[in-house]
Amino acid sequence: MSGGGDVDAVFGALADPTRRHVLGEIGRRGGATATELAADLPVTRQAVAKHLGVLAGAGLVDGRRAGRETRYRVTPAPMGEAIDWMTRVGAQWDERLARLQRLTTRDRA
Amino acid sequence: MSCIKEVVLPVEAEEAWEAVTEPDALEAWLADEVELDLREGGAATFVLPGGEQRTAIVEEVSPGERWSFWWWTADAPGSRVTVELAPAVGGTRVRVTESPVGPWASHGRPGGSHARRELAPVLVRAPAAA
Repeated sequence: MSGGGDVDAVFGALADPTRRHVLGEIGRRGGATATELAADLPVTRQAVAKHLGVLAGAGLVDGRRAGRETRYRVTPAPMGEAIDWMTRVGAQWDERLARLQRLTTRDRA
Repeated sequence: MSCIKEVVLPVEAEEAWEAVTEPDALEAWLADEVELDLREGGAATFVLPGGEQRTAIVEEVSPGERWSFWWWTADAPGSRVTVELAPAVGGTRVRVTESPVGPWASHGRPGGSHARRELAPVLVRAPAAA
């Protein structure tokens, strides 16, 4: 549904450590405004707003007006895909870590 | 959204660190083939059982404690993996946290291999400013 340009935008957006932090915070809080985010970061509200613009441009967050401010939230992935992902990735790590444990147990024996 | 898995290994931290960072060791449990430049911004490739190749970039390394990387394939979205060690009764706990890079996981990616080539330089720059 979308071309490589979107992916480039996403990675461009994520290339900045402050933006990764901002994205993580929005996810953790379930939504946040630029003012709230700036309160916990060593950058200005204006700088945070600019980062939010880049994240929104990449489709990683969307903003809704809430009074005088815009509240951002992480764009939700379809729930079914999220569950599929968790199930698949979880099963992979279960297998890998079981192998790792066997390996270190055997080395010790 | 993160997938978190833990295991306690019956070894000291130093040995556990080698098990989760040395390519030879990783090839025994994580992937069939591993190339890894273990430093911030270092590149890595993993060939998983079944032949799936993942390109990766090291985000952070705290020797003996934690390292993290981002990995992705030509036609599937990327995710971030953090491997952490902590002392535990009977050995060393290994905790793995994997999180998808973003909700764009659902986006189709025509020309994925092209995208992968394009992405690496962008990501290489990422850890430096942390």
